[in-house]
Amino acid sequence: MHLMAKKATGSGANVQPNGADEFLPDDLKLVKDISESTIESEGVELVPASGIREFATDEVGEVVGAAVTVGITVKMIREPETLRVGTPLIVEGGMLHFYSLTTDIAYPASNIAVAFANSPMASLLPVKDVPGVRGSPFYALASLNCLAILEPTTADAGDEAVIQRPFDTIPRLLSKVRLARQDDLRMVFRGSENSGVIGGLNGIEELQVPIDFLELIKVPFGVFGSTGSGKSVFTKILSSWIVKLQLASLVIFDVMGEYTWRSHEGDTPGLAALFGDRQVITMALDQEKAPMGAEEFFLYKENVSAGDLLTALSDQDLTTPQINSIDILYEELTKGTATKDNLIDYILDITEKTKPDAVNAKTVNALKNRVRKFANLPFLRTGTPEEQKETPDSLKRILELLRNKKTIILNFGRFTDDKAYYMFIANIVTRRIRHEFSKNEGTYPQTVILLEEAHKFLSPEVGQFSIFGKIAREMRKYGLTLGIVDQRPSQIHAEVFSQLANRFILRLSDPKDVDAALSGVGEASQWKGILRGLQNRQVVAMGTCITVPSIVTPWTFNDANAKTMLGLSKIAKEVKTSITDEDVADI
Amino acid sequence: MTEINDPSRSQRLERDIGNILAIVKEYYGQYAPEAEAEEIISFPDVEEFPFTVPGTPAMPFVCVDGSFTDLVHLQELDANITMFRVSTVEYNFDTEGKPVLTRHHVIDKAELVSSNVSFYKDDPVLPEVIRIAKQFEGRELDIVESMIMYLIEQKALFAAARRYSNAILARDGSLTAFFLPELKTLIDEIVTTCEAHSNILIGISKDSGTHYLDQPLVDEAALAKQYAVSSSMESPCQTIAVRIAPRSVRRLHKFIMIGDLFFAHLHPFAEKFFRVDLGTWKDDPVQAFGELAKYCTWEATPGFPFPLVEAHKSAKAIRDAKDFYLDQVIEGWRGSGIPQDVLLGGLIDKYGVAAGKFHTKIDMISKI
Repeated sequence: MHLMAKKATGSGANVQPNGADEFLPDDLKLVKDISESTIESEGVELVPASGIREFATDEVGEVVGAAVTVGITVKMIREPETLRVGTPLIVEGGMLHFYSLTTDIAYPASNIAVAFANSPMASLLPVKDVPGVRGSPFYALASLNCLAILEPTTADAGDEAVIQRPFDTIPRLLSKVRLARQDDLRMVFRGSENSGVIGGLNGIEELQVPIDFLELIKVPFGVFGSTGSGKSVFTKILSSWIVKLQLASLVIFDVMGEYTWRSHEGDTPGLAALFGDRQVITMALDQEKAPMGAEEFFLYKENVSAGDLLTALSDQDLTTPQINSIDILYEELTKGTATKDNLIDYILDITEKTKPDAVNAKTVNALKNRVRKFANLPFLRTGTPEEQKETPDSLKRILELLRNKKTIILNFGRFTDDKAYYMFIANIVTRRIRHEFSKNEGTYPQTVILLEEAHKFLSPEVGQFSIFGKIAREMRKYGLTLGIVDQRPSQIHAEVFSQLANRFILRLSDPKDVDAALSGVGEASQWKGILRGLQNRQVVAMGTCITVPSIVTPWTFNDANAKTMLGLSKIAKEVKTSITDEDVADI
Repeated sequence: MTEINDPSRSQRLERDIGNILAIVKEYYGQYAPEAEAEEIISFPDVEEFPFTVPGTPAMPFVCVDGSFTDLVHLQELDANITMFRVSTVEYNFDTEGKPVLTRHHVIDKAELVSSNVSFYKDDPVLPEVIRIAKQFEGRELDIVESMIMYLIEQKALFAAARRYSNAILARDGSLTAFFLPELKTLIDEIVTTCEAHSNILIGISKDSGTHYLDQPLVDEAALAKQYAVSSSMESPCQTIAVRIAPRSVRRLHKFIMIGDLFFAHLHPFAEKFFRVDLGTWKDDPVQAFGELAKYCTWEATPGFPFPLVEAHKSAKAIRDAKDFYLDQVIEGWRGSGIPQDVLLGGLIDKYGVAAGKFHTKIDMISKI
């Protein structure tokens, strides 16, 4: 009734004094108002005179859905085959740019292609060939994971004004989406004095991605990838930067003999080849196959603990009685009631008469069979306390080198064939380092222990004996960090992943390994698709050391690149080869 | 549920359905497949024009289609705020024979649509339309809206007729009009302009229920039967246009009929005959249908011109834009002084129902 009370605008002619018509306008004259001329002039031409616009080569599509918790959905205008999972994109919102990664490409669930697929009518115009007024009826949807929102403050404020923030809002519908350009991301991937470039950004290879190594070395990190994925070479890039930036000492258990001078696989330089054998010290377990300039490595058997032995034997299916027996025998040793001064020889020496009552004779025999391989190793010696004081073992040398910020490579020579030796040495060396670091808090510089085949030490079964689980959990405050390198992350205890602040994931073939490598990562499901599409050598880098999670193609690790990327004036190899006989004639 | 289980009710229902099916059976029994070969239907009042697709370059195909969506219902006025869209699209073929969308013109027009004659006292058409619509109580607004859309479509067709030469100009539906002088004048102007510009003017109906052939089946079904139309590749059917004798059309048609009325099978794989009203080129249907057939080769709709599908798609998109236009109405409503409850009660949902209608309330109560 409100309308009835109002007087209409207009001249008021022809209105009746009372009744419903009082408020009506004069006349709408519809037929006269709409003429063929107004149709043309008031309408909108959606196809410009130049014809349907060609989509730019960097255009991807428009936003048709988004949620902060799920990501952004894009209706694609380009053929799906021209976009790859992992491609960096920019969503041009109203005020903000959304830097995103393609995580999935799919066709919509209700797809009319089903009605036309396998058509026998070959002479007809294919459905996809008619350019529709609303675009092609056949299209794909791309799912994006927004990594950062870029908020330019003012148009003329320059790059410095770009503000980055997490994905906390969504772009407006129908926002344009295009391939990211170097210019968009230059400010995202800014380096600092503690950063080094690890490779080119996937999709924009010329954009070099730096990571902050000071952040990296502070907390445990992981490098995961199948055999042949490029994991070792990438780890070398990380190691090279750590040495170059002198942010931490490194302890590397070099099972495959890759880190000193040259890698047999892939023909890549080692750390000594780049930085010289004064900065990078190699210690060899096997003197017959020792790299040039390597120091001899040996240990006293007296320093071997039950945990060291248990870790070394962990892949030999020890039974519970066998495990308990080692603990009992070690207790006898520490009480001074053993027949020998070290655990290995004690086990081998036990007889029916000398064994402790709590230990079964059959168990002892089984243990002897397993321990026998450690009896006569060249790097395991026996020594009285006086002898040990007079000729300290390599553990003492390692600690001395760490104090001097050196990098130490333990070369295994012919002892690479049996993983038990590697596990034995790695555990005993690390246990000692941990002991020293926690006893002398603050006296050692930051140190990173690089642990290959990490699952052997960090599986739920072995974790209780090995020292590495403790380091991952506790040693951050003592300046000791673990770098885990592994091809089977699914076999590593889940708790270890919660300690990783940074992870670098290369191609992994087993879905269980993919799940494990991503455990604890936000939007893990979105990253799965990306990991599935990773090429060899490509790395997904995520964590506190990198501005935004990124897919990186590492730079090719050779002499020339290493020199350029690391900013070395001359690599050690060049120095050595440039020395002539004349130079050393006086020596 | 007790009334459903009532035996007498159940028996009555069984009897009624039985009677219906008996009629249907009798009807289809006359046209059972085994009887097909024996019975030849004769159509005394038709003229056949078999045609082929000429190898000449295709003429541009321009077509017009419209749609509308109701935004707000003003119950006290029995009026709707309605948004109309009429789309004009133009297709051509490039040198490689691929179709190209060369024009896509859209006009969106908001109108206050009412069944109250006082709104349109000086309009030459709508008062009469409303008078007729009043005979269909409850559907008045629908009829007025359809007429307004028809008017905008015709104006768009006229604009296209003036703009193009040597083109096919098509509208969705037949080339007919109410017996109103203004409408007759308008359509005559379109035809005259098309003739002057050598445009082929056609109206194509997606489905037709006419009985000009004096058969129990609708015309398009009778012709499909006669010409053994099948969409199978194994038995393609000839391309042919069948003209219904104008006297038959005049005898049955209640509106102004422009041009000649054909049923055409426009592609060997077309699944049916379509009604095509030919407004110009009536003397050369073979040529006209040959040109038209060039645009009837789309795999999605063999035998039906694909530009019309796209024009239809464009016009229908007004429903997707409904929220956008509704926002504009709401924006304009603010500060207008019109009470908000008028708007709230008049918002029309996607089923075309206004929130404030008593009907809506009853529907809601019925769900309890």
